Formats: sequence, structure tokens, C-alpha cells
Amino acid sequence: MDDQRQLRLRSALERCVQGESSYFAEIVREYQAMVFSIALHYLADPSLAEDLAQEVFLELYQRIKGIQSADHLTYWLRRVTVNRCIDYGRRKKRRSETPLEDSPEPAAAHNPADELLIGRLMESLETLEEKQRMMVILRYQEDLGPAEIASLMKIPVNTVKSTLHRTLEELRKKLTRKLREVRYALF
Amino acid sequence: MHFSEDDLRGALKRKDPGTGFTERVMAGVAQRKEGPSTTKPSRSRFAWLQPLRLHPAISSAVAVLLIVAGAIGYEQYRQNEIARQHAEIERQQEAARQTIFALKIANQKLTHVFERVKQSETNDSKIRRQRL
Repeated sequence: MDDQRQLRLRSALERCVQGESSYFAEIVREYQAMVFSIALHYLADPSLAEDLAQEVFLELYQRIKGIQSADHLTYWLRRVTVNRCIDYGRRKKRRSETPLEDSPEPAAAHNPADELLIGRLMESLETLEEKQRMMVILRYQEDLGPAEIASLMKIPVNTVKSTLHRTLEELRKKLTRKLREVRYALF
Repeated sequence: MHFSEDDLRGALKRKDPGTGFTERVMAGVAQRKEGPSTTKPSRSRFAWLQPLRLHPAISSAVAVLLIVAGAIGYEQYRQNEIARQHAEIERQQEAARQTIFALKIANQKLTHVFERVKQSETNDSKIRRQRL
């Protein structure tokens, strides 16, 4: 996080802690993409992801006095979002592999092949077991290292490393299988 | 089908929530500030106990104190009951004693009256014999 942004956030945080709730909107704007995206990529449901994100921020508002710094705030938001996503996911009926057209809109891609790949990746992500899926999101969306993921998810570091390695293999196998299925369907 | 870690990063890029998200959150914050009447009703019938939530050690100490206070209170009640029953028995015995005493007095008076009557009858019979 660059210095200017750190300074601005620290100021907004201090004002919120002192009771000036109008500065809370600034904190929400700063972190909304992070919280919403973790929920969206995990739950694969935009409206559910938005509900969850709102709940996370409302909980933050209640507990803002306990937040000590911008780094603590980032850690807190990620941890609460991860825990709520896993709880929501358990309550929500597990989806089987959904067709591409029902998956959330993929990130902007430069060519159709990339779009197809992204779509297939998202589809395969949904079929992963809950902790595997969350680890992939934290690793590749949030760019966290295994130690940070282990701290957030309260899992040993070695478990995170081996799970990530295994998950990537699993994703590759799933995508290869999908490609074969498409080929058989066409020919 | 092969993909790189960059492909995964691309697929998992952060996205913004819909327009008005911050406003919706701030509306929720304003609702919370207004008070309990505008918030969701509590799901639990025991929600009123929430403010009494204490540290587990303190809760245990309070529970023990309540049990001890209850035991002491019961013991005092039991002692009071026993004392009350003894007093009742004492009162009944006193009433019986007084009744017996009153009957003794009445008996004495009746005995005295009976003797006077008997004395009077004896005197009358003596006087009748003298006249004859």
C-alpha cells in the first residue's frame, strides 16, 4: 500500500474510531472491491456476494474501535470475509459443474480464447472443495503468500503449500478433461 | 488444457460491486445507529440475556455464588420452619395445661357445692327425727 493511501486510510480510521461515521464511507470505497471479489469468486453469485460484503462492512462498523492500523484493517476484513464465505458456502447447496453461460461474467480478456479459458477456470474453481477454493482465491486474487494464507485460515503453512500444489494439478486435469469432452462433442 | 498462474490471476482479478454499494452500506450503518426498533428482530428468545454475557470464569463464579446463596437461604428457611413448629407445639401444650387447670378449679367448686348440699340434707333429716 503506498504512503499517500496509507496516510489517508489512517486518518479516516482515526476519525471513525473517534465516532465520525461519515469517514466510514471512505473505508468502504477503499476495500469494497477486495471484499466483494473474494465473496464473488468463492460463491459465484453476485447478489449473494454483495449481501455478504455488506454484512462484513456492517460488522466492521460495529468493531471499528478495535482496529489499530490500516494493515490490521486489511487483515481483519480478509479474515472475516473468508470465514463468512465458508459459512455461506456450507449453507448454500453445493453446485455441480455449471454450464459456462450460467457462470459469472469473466474478467475482460483480449481474445475469445482467453475468455473461454477464464470461463472454464471459473467453472472448475466452483467444483473445488471449500478450503482449496479459498486458498486459490487468496493466492491469485489477493497475491498472498502461503504464510499469510495459513495465518488467515488458521491452517499450517505446509498444508497450504501442499494443498495449493495439489489444487493446481486438479485444475489442470479438469480443464484437460473438459477439452476432451468438447472435442468428442464436436467430432 | 494448460494455463499459467497469470491466467489464474487474470481470471481472479478484483471486481467492483454494483453502483451504489457504498450508499447501501452507509444506509445500513444509519439504520444501526437509529436503534433496535429498526434493526432485524432478534432470532433468539434469549437475546435479552446477551448484555449479561460475561467472561466464562466470571460466569462460573457468579453461578457458584448464586448456588451458595440459594443453599444458605434454604437452610435459613428450614430453621425458621422448625422454630415455628416448635412454637406452635408449645402454644398447644400451654392451652392444654390451662384447660386442665380450669377443669380442676371447676371440679373443686363442684365438689364443694356437692358437700354443702349433702351437709344440708343430713341436717334436715336430724331435725325431722327430733320433732318425732
